[in-house]
Amino acid sequence: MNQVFAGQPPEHLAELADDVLARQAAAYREAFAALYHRHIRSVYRYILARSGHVPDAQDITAATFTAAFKGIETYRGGDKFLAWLLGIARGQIAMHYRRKKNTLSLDAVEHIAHPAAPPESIVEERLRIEAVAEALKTLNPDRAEAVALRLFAGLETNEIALAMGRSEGAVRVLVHRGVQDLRKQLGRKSDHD
Amino acid sequence: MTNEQQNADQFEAFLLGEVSLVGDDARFARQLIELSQQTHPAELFIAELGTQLMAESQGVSSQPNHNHNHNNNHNHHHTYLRRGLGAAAALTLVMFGFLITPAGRGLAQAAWDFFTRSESDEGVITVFVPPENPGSAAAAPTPQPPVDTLDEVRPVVYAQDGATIPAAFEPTNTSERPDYAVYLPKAVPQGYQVDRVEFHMLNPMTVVEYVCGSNTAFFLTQLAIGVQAYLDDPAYRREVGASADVVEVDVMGVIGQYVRGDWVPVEPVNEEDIPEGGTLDVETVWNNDADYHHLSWYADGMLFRIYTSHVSTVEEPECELGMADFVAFANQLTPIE
Repeated sequence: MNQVFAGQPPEHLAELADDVLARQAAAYREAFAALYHRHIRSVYRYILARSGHVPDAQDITAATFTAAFKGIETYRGGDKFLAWLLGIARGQIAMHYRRKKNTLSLDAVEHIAHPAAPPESIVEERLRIEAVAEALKTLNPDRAEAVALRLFAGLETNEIALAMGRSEGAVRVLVHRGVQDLRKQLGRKSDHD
Repeated sequence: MTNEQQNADQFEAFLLGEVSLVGDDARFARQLIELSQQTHPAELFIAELGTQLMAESQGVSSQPNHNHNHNNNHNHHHTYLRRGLGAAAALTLVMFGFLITPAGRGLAQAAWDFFTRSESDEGVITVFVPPENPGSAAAAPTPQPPVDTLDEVRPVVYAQDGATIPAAFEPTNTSERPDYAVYLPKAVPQGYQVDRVEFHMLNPMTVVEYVCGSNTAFFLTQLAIGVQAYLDDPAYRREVGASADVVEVDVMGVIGQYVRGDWVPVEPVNEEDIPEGGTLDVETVWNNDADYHHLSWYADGMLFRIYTSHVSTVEEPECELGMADFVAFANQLTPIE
């Protein structure tokens, strides 16, 4: 029992749907372990894309799953479990940086105020998650969120629409515009250059 | 449809792999997807976080709207959920370590403590505000009016595979778990009605909620668990303040324990300060007069619990119950043959 979370969940649980596992997770910790192993990578990718800082992403990921575990009985089903987890992650990200902002150094504040390096210096560079995260912070928040959920968390358009309270068509536009804005922000070559 | 919408739809089709696109946007999107696929948490981090969650899960048991992390530190730690989450959230218990083994009454009488006494009356509660769950209103079961007897209740029944069984409550029809007998009361306290029943087949557990007035409830839970599993896992024992009055009572021929009191925030909790999905640590003090009651006992291989909601009955005095009422209720529970 003690290695449930650290190891892999039992095979029969790994085959069950999220909703089934979530209903059992309140009373059966192996079920939560199966959900944890199934979704930690998507949750982590989303958080890292929004934070750009590995230690912060690890802290927030840990806080997200801890909060999800404590609040698993509030999951009602009907939505994708991953979307519910990412809702918790959004709250944890906001809280993490709210707590942290009072302790940021002047250098760090300066860095956040000017997140993207000069475009010419990163053209043709290999894309880095830190740079993407910093650039996302400068985008329209809805576009940034749609890009992070679609391309990093791996949610489908209809799931993002539900999470953001927008139509699927609007989400597709947000993702498309967000990718275009992000490319420009990162100084990547334009379609029209 | 506008050109912008058409372009966005085409871009989505590209992301889904349904069409191919050329150009810098598509190339950049491919780079983003590749970057995402290459972004993994370290396996060591996954394992360590998993171990940490496991350790926390061992220290958590739950009451409605009030989950407790059990430890013996002076500054103990609790979690409770924002009020008003509904009966479904309130009903679900967090319980761990189910190992079903035969158990006898004699052992239960001699060895069982159902509460852990903290070293002080001071503690910390973690307030958790769950995120909104879009669409949950449509998915939630239709509320049922309270009824007088269990025969009229349509319960939530969870099968072994976790699926919900849309069936009327048949307490004798637990064929998937022949080792489990459901105990039901011959009568409920005056003013109370059955509001909801949950039956979990995977780890056999029944939860019945009794309601009175508009805001008062108590819960009867019945969990099949082996003696050793119970003794090995402190999560089954509720942590109470150092000054709590733990009263031994005779229930169903065994010795049970009853406590009145609760951990009360020192300062009012302003939940507006907590974002959805966030948590807030709140200092608490144990209060023996708080209107929270908990009775536990072990009999016939079952851990029984009766506990109230964390809502004061001051405004509904006709619903007020005390130790004698709960013990009397417990003593007329009968296994359904």
